[in-house]
Formats: sequence, structure tokens, C-alpha cells
Amino acid sequence: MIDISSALKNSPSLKVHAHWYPIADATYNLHKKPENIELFDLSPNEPTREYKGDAFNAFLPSSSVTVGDVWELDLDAVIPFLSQFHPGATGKLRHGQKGVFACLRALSPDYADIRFRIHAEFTLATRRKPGWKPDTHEHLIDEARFIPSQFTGRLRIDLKTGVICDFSLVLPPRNSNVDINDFGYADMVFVPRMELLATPTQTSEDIKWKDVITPKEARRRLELKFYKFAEIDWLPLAAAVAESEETQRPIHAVLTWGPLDDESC
Amino acid sequence: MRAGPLSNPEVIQTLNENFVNTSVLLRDLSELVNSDAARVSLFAKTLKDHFVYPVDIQVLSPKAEVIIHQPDSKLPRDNRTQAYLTLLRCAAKGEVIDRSEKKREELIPELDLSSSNL
Repeated sequence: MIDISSALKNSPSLKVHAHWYPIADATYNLHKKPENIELFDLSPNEPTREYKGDAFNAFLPSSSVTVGDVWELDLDAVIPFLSQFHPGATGKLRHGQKGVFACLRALSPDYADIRFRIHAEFTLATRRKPGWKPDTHEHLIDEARFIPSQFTGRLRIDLKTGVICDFSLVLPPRNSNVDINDFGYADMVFVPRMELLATPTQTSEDIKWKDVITPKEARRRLELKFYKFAEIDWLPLAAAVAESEETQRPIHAVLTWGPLDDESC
Repeated sequence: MRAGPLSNPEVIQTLNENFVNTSVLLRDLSELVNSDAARVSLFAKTLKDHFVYPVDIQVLSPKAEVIIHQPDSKLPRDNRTQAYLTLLRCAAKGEVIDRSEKKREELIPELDLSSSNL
């Protein structure tokens, strides 16, 4: 067990760069409708932002942890990072599984490696429906929204100095990774890159970890915090076909328009 | 589905013990149909040919025969988890069930009109 809650006490400030590429593919091309072109022409709100070192306390556990442990983060402390992309960042999802969790992936006497997963969305614009009055409910306000599947990230800390050696927060680039809404209609789209990145000063290969789990195992532990159904042993179709042939068990297939294991649909 | 039947502990146990589980994106199916691996192509084609929008459940035998076809939209509104569990148990016994064409009313259990409900 280790208490890293105050590891960033003397951490210097850190410049973080935002990258946000345009929509590269879509099912219905909703973003190409003339009235939507400006709405979905998105780029970082702040291409570069300097964060105080203690801002990254948002990703640390509040008490002692061991490698593999998962803890919940304070959404209010994490969402400001996403506002570097767009001021409409929010953790209050209209649908789906909200939350933000982190996992201690690796530890050495000198370094700690934390992985995290965030479910959040961006309100791009709002529009009042007919009949709206100042005291009416929010269902009379339409929203245009940009809903990423998830953000995954890592934070690597030099425990001796409090220096952040590596920080990134990334929209995983699978072929359907964002749900967009334009005040009523929806589309599934692909955004090749959406990332916050600090220039790493230390790579994982340079460090001799004392306790460690693989990045895949960390992702799995985080996924299980969001979705109970992740306890089902899912396989890609090709692997499932081979397994079925070998075991003679039937294949149970769930076919979906959008991914099952994230918030992009 | 994912917050309902697929998150039920009994369903999860049944699926892990009796089935090989996969989830497939509709947009990935065409590529899988064109796979060089003949068996993968066969299974993908069967899934694609039967797909009902937007969420579809199919159970295929190891020979790619459809055992269960249950579009999510045609699961009963009430007792969805129990209905799903019943389907899976039937599938595990090799029973063939196709719920893709039946009307919704046929899938809703008969109303209990006993005095307590009147």
C-alpha cells in the first residue's frame, strides 16, 4: 500500500497541448448538412494551456492504494481539463453511464503510473423550444451535443520530485467513436484524434517497475467499474468462431449499430 | 440491453457457462463477410442476413445455424431479463426460436386479470 495523495505537493506547472481533428467519417453525414457545418467545425478551445501542478491532484487517490486498485475521481475536478477542448464540457450525461475512475497501474520506488477513464460530453449549443419560459423545465431546451465514446488517459509521476513525467487524455480512435446530436437528429461519427498531451520526459521503458499490471488489465478493471455487462466473456467474432468450433458451444451474438462497451451510441 | 438483461448476474453466469459471446458492430459486418477465413465469413453472413435494426440478438450453432433470433425491440417490455434468461435456457438446449417476425403483442405475457389486479 502507498499513499500518493500528496505526491504533487511541489509539482511545477505543466503545459498541455490539445489536438482535435475534424470528423473523418459518419453514418449519415449529419455534420455536412449546411446548417450544421459551423456547429461541428470543432477545434480546441485552448490549443495550449498551462496547468498548475496541483491541478493533477484530480487524478490521485485520496487514501492509500496498491497496484491494481481502482478509485472514483471527482468529476468537478476533472471536467476543467476537458474544457480545454470546449467550454461546454460536462460530466452530466443525458443518457448512459456517467463517471470517472482511475487505476494505479504500476509502481516503483521512484515512479507511479495511473490510468483513468472518463465519460463526459460537450454541449455545443442550446436552443429554446416553442413554449419555453424562464421558469420552465429543461426539457424545453434542445441541445446540440458531441458525445465521445470515452476518454482514456495516463499520468506518470516522479514520486521523489513531484514532477509529472507524462500526461495524456485521449479519445480512443476506433472507427465509431463519437455520437453527435444536432437538436434532435443523431449520427455516429469517427474522429481520428482528440487528445490532450504533455510532452513526456520519461518513457515507461526507462523505468523498472516493482509492482505492475498490464495496460490491458488496467483498462479491464476500469471498464468493470462502468459496466456490469463487462463481466460477460466477450470475444471478437473471429475468436468466437474458433472457440465455438473447439468447444461446440453456440455463439451468442449481440449486433449493434453503435459500440456496446462505450458511450458513443 | 446492456443496463438490463446483460447486467443481470444470472444472465451473465448463463452466458459465460453455456455460450461463446461476441458483440459485433453492424458497420464491421461487411468486412467480416469478406474475411479470408471461410468460417468467419459464414458466421458474419448469417448474422448480417438476419440483422434487425438497431440491436439484434442471435444465437448460432457451431455450424452457423440460427438457433435464436431475438431483436431487442421485440423483447417484452416487462420482465425483459426473465424473458432473456428463458430464451438462453432454450438455446442452450438447442431449441429453435425466431422472434423476428412476431408482433409485439404476441411476446407480452398474458395479463393476469385476477381480482387483485382489477
